Formats: sequence, structure tokens, C-alpha cells
Amino acid sequence: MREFPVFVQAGTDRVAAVVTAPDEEPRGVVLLLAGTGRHNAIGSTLSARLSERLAGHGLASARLDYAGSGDSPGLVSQWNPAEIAAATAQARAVLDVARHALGVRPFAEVGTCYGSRVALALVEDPACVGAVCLAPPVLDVGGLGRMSRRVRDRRVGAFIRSNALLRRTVVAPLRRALGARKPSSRFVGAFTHLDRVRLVFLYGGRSAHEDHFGARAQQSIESAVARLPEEQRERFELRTVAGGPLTTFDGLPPGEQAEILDAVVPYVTSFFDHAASLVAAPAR
Amino acid sequence: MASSSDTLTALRRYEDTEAGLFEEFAERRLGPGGAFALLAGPLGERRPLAWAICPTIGPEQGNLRRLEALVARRLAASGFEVARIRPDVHPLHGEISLPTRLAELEEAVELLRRRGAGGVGLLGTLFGGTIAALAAERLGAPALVLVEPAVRGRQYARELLRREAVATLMGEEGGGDAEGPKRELAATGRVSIRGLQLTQEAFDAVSAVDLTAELRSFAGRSLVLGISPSGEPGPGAAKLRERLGELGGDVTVTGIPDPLYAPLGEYYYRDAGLLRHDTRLELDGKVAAAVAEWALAGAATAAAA
Repeated sequence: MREFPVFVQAGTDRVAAVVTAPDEEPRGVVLLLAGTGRHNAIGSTLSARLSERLAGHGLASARLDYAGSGDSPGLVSQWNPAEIAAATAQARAVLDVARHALGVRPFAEVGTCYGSRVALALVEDPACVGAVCLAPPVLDVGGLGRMSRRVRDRRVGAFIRSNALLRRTVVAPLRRALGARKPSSRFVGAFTHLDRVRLVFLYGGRSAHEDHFGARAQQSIESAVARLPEEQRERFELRTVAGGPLTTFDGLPPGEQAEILDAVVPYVTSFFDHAASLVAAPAR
Repeated sequence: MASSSDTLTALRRYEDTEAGLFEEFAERRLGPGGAFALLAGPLGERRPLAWAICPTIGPEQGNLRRLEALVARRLAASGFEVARIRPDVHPLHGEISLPTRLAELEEAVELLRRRGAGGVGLLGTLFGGTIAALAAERLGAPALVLVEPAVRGRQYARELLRREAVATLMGEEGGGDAEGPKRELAATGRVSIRGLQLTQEAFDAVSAVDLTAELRSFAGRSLVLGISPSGEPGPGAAKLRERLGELGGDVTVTGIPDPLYAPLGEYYYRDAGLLRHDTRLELDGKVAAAVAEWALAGAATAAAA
């Protein structure tokens, strides 16, 4: 395999990225999108390890540090999975560079946490064949959550929290009215592309809450899937793997890291195999 | 595929004319695992002294990448060429290894010399600073910047085990074992520290480091930066000042006050639900500014002499 470390311009941002190409002509590109935590390697340790494994399957890949993180220029004081426009533009720019340079069109994605939101934003591209989302945060902070954050550090917030009567008469009705946590529009929107792409949501079984997975998230996923035609339901998979949390891949012991890689790689290769079989199949 | 290589190779470098600097991935890879060498430098005239930044070897290296990037860019904007080491995908990069990092640092110095540097100063944070000091001694470096260096390797090595034990205790339902990592290392000769492999041999090599004893001849210019809520450098900085002074060097010890939401090298985001607030942005900027200011003062003194 060959690695190409690059700087890619994305609007006013510029990001450090690594494009990895197999020795042979690649049959597709996999965009590897990290979360926002600690990453020892450019893109993340998971992305670096995946890039090597995918090259062994004839797939190129591209990974990046979002602007303001790692080795990419810029300063970002806060990361919010509901605000991904800039990161999506950066990911798109890196993907375009890789696809153009390597002369390949189809792409798949592997995103972790924040990166899974970015991945879901790009599945609308007709060249996308699928995405594996590790620990995707399905729910957004609702109106009450935003309000809570604003008043949390104020005395009025502390007073309301400390008073059982106010919690019952003010907070509970507000929660019902505003919806504390709602499925993100990105998540809902991605499901509309299941007529074409394949989606896999993976969560770690050890501490699911750290992977943003709980009863409400599961309910949201299941109800969204239930509304889909059967053919599209088959293109989605929700899976829990042992160990985790997946959001902290860098910190997991080698055995667990290997298990996660072993779980992800077959999905990604199958996306391209399936897409290739559709192209090869005679039209009916 | 030649054209794809050409297209991607052309993107190794960018120039920021407003900041007056460039960054570039060198073609040369560093050390036995082939770490990336990421260069930064001025677009205008380059000063004779260059800098090599040495990452630490433990899991904290991921939490210090942004700091190293800011320091590199600040130095580059001040006229210095800088190389930083970026481990990648090689299995060696998944191990805590003093020899590997020393080899990478030596090759980074060689890279800068080949690019025309008159001398190469070394810089590092936490145990990265410790390694920078060991290499400065070995390579005869003219200048040294240590940010919160670990003076005693034994303490750092024990801290690695403690960190793994704490993370295990916090992560495992039904409890863990505070002595687990230490016992596993003793029993199997190997333990995973937050995803990085630590062998007994590596543990012993790190434990054997005593910076005040191993600094025997370095008589260059040095800066020891301490970070604490009070702004007072810690006792390790005082020991280093004494030792570096004994060797005849020009040593500056200074402190940067910061409340340190998390200890330097630890995960520094404050999570509020799905939101992550960066608690170290200001501190990283202050460290970068302090390093560049000190480096510039040295350049001015050298020019006057």
C-alpha cells in the first residue's frame, strides 16, 4: 500500500489528511471519519488501522483531522454533533481529492460518533454505496436541553433543580412540550437513501451510554426502521458488539480493537461487492 | 498511477501567506516504523536554528498533538523551521518505546540539518520533553525547551500503570483491580496502556531514566515551562534549573498559570451532553507564545553576538 499525507483546502479551512491506496487499482474509496476525542494518528487510530486493512481488500481510503483538531490548522472551541456543516465540507473536499487523484467513483464511509453524523450527511451522494456508523448519536439535544444548558450555570437553574415541586410542575410539562431529545434530522434523512445505500449502526455493549445508545435511541431507530419498506429494512443493520465503548477505540486493548476491525471491514467490502454486482447484473 | 501520485504529492505542502508560514509533509519517513515528518517553516527568511518537536510516548500523545501543532506554527511564523513527528499505522507505533522515539527524533534532526539548519533545538512536553533532553545530551543540541518534563522515568512509568488501572476501574462494571495492570505486566511481561502496548523491557527502560543524572554535558540555552493553577513551576523544574545551571547552560524556568481542568496530557474536553468544550485552547496558545518569545529572544542574542 502507499500512503499520501496531504493538506486539503475546504472553503476557508484547510485540513491535514492521509490518502491510502492499495498497490493495485482501487475499486473504491472509503472515507474514514473520526470522533472528536483523543487520536494518536492523523484521522484517528481506528482510521489508520482501517486504512491498512482496507488496502488489503483493494480499497483506497482517506482520513483527516477536522480543522482545529490534531494537525489541521484552525481553532475550534466547541464541538456539537448537531453542527457539522464545516466538518462535512472538509470531509467532502478530502473525499473529492482522493477520488479525483485515484480515478474512482464509488465510495463508502466509516464514521465514529461525531464522524458518523458527517458520514450520514454524505450518503445522499449517488456514488455512496454504504456507511458503517460506530456509536452514532441518534438523538439531538431538544429544546429543553438547549434551555437547560443556558440556565444551568445560573442561580435560577439551580433553584429549579433543587425544588421537587418546580421540577414536577415546570420542568416535566416543558419536557413533554419541547421534547427533551429528538432523533436528529441527519439520522432521519439518511434513512431516505436506503433505497440505494446500506447502513450499519454499531454500538459497544460494555457501556452503551458512552456510545450514546439507550432505550430512547433504540426506540427511535426501531420506529424509523419499522416505517421503511421491507426491501429497505434489509439494507439497515443495528448491531451491538462486545466490549467498547467504540467512541474510545484508541484506549481499548488490542483484542477488542481487532474485534471491532473484524466487524467493520466485512461490511465495507460487502458494500462494494454488492454495488459491483448490481452493475454487473443484466437489466431486467 | 503515476498521475495519482503526482496529484497527491503536490498536496503535501500548503502556504499560508497571511501567517507567513508553510507546512509540508516531508517525503522522508522517520524511525523504524516510518512516522510522518511534518515540517513547518517561514515563507520568508529562515533563521539558522531549527526545532524538532518530540512527542511523548504514552497515550497522552494524542492529547498533545494540537499543542505541538500550535507551537510549530508559532515558531514557523517567527522564522524557525520546525519538524514534528507523527506516528501512524505501523505496529511499532502501537507500542510505548523509548528507543523508537529516540530514533525518530534523531532522524528528524538529521532531516532538518539536511535542509540547511545550522543547529537544531529540541522541544517536548511531559515525557516527550524528557526524551528531548536525553537526545540533546546525545546529539549536542544547542537549545532545549521542556514543557512540564518528567524528571524521573520511574514516576512516569508508574503513572502509566496507574492511568490504566483508573480507566479500568471506571470502565468495568463490577469493579476492576487497582493493581491489575502492574500484576499483568509482571506475569506476562506485557500490558495494554490505553490501547498502547507496554512491555516489561520498555517499562524498565523508561523507569531507568533520571534526567538530572543523565544530563552530563548539555550547556546550551534551555527553557523549562511549568504549568499550574498558581503559575509556579513544580519541584522538578527547580531540580532541572539547578542541574542545567551546574552544567553551565543558560536556563530559564518560567510558569504559566492555568486552572488545568484536566492535568496536562489528559483528555481536556468538558463534555456537556453531546457538546464538547475545549478547555485547553487558551493554555495551548499561551505555551506556543511563550516558547516562540523565548526562542526569538535567543535568536536576537545570537545575532547580536
